[in-house]
Amino acid sequence: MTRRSYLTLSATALAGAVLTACGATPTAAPAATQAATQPPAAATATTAPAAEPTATTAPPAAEAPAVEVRLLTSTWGLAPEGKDAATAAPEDFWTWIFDEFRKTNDKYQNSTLRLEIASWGEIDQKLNVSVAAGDPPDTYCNESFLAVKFAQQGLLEPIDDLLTADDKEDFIAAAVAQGQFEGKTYAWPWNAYGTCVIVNKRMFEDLGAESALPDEKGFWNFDEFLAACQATTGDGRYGFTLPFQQNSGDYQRYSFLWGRGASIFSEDGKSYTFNSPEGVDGLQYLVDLEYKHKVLAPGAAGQTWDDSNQLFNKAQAAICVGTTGYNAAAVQKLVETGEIDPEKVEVIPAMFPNLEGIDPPRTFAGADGFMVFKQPNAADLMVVMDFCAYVCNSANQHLNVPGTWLPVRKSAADMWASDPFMQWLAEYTVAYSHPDGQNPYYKDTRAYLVPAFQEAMSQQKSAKEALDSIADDVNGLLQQA
Amino acid sequence: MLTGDRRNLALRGLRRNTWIYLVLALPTVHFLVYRVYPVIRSLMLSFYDYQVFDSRWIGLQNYERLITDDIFRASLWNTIYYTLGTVPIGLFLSLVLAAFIVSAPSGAQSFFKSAYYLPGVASAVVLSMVWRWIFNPNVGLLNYLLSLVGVEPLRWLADPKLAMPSLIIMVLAGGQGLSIILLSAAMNSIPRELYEAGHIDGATAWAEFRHITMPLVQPSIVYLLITGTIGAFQAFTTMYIMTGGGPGYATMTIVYVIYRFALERLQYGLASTMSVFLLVVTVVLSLVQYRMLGGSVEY
Repeated sequence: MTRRSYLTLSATALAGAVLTACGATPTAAPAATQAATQPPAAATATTAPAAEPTATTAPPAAEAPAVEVRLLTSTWGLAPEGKDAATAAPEDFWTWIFDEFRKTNDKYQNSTLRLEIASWGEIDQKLNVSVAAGDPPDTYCNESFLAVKFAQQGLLEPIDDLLTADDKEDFIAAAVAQGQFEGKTYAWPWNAYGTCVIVNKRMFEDLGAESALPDEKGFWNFDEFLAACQATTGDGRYGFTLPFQQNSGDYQRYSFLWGRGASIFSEDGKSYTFNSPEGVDGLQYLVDLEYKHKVLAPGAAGQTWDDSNQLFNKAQAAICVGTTGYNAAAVQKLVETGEIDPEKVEVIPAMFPNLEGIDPPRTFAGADGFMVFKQPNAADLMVVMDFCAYVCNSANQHLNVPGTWLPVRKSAADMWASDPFMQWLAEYTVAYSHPDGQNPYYKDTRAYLVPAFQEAMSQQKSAKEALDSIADDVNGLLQQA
Repeated sequence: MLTGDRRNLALRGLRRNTWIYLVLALPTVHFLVYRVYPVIRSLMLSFYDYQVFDSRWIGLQNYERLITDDIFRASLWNTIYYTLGTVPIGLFLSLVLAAFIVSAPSGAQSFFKSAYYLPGVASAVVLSMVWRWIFNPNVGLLNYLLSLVGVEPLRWLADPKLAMPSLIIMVLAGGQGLSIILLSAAMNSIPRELYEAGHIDGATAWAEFRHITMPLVQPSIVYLLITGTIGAFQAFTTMYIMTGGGPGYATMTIVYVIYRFALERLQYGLASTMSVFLLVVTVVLSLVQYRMLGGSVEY
């Protein structure tokens, strides 16, 4: 080969590589999707009302628009119907369900899915950066309340005209409300999540402390909670374990302040109020659990969720906090892997403690949904909206089971009938959700609140000093918003 | 005419060295795009209140805030504390260990070099998991050992006074592999005749180390000191995995605070100002170290 021909060949190869890298290669090619063992139920929610002709007029099959649906989402633990979620890759579910969606109507036959999956820790940043760059995805699937932030800026398409009468009747009102702004709905409710206190009932029984357990509904006040912790502390065991190191699960800590009547935000959501006397009392209560009563596993300020779960699973702590991770199937798996000894651990859910008169007790719960960013034309809007509606339809609610998500439709209320833990969560948590969790800037306050809680829990500052010290920053953030 | 000759000469040189320029072009472009441009862009952003949806020119306000910001000042102190705790002590340990290793038979040398280098090959995440267990206040190894001698359990990573020393211990315990390899290689390359001459002159082992070994491994020491300082000033992963910068801001370093302000608080302007500050400090420190220690280096 001559030098010239070698250079020509190299240049051609380089140009090809650059073109390939620049080309928009869909991560999910429809042809590669797996056939479902059973097709999902009929696309009951894919039809839009006649009042929205742009999104409902189905062009003839031959003119089916070539729409690329760009979906930004995270890992939900789901799988194509009939497949094992434990072995399915995160993209499998989406490629499968998009393929099923395409089968529902010829007008989608030329549509493709461009899937972007980010970790839970990165997804918000990725969305913020893409929006800032003027290149948001077509649809974004995450907590519904985030829609409010983008709706405020006029970046989202409302979905109200696309909700059928059945949808309006069927969706749980609290789940719809989380994606609403100024009377319009901007998120297709898809699934829900809830948090609670988790109690090792067996340990209470073994110690003859059944009377310290919460009532039959799982409710208790702060004094009863402390008494339960004291009844189970001793011989290297702790009554309670709660980690403070990571940002995630921050709401589990806030629940102790909410239960005393404190709120992060004022009623209009525009100022910071967690440093109220109620908030300070709530944080001081947590500090006292570790340093005064010595019932909280020590070193909470530096502990992670792994540390905490390990203590609870090994029956070295009687109470922890959690979400759906202690459903029947998950506990069974922990038993099988030897993480939990069923003779030492029996899990029951309970509510976070509250003061008498604070009614109802408060927890963190919410709905996840699909928000649709402004589309360049009616054809794109139709396909993107119809896809979101399809994923969120009633018949597809059960697809959330492998991910241990709660239903957002009344028609799927029995989705967890065989699991008392999940049924309890479905019944209580969404209805008892504290409104702070729905503030669009809730997540942004984590960067301030988490270190402040750590400062109090490591006794660098008093509870009041810690909560006061971030007031200017959080107020600045809210005013800027 | 002369100009024409020069041009021809230059063109001929260019043709002759086409391959060299082609090979160098790609890394140069990469360097300009991914190294130089971000630095220039950071410098520009540092004069803006750059938010995701809005940005405006604010002159030197970010630099003013840098001086008064408590979190940044805490992170600066933490970074200095971490650097002083890891670099000089780490270098001293490496020097001593390397001196012992090169005195050993060659088979033993290989074994010890591998043993010290191995932690550097292991995943930082795996190492951190082990160390998190060692420091665990409830089920950890350190508190268990302390309990054997009747000492109350300590909150290693949850106590603001202990958190940074704990991280320094962790880094010192496992992070000297590369330094030991470089220093032992430098020591092994010193001609044996110099030691023999010293021996004949009646020099003690300490005198040989001080007057022969140290001057001749000084280039390696300077190199390790400069790269170690730069690395320590950019410390992030250890804190991110082990403590999340906490408790509170007790282990928050400059790079971690840049990460927080940019990616959690979305204050890109202020984060860029911190980056510019870090760049200037690192360059100045490196120059000072080079001037102070590198002046007498013989390469």
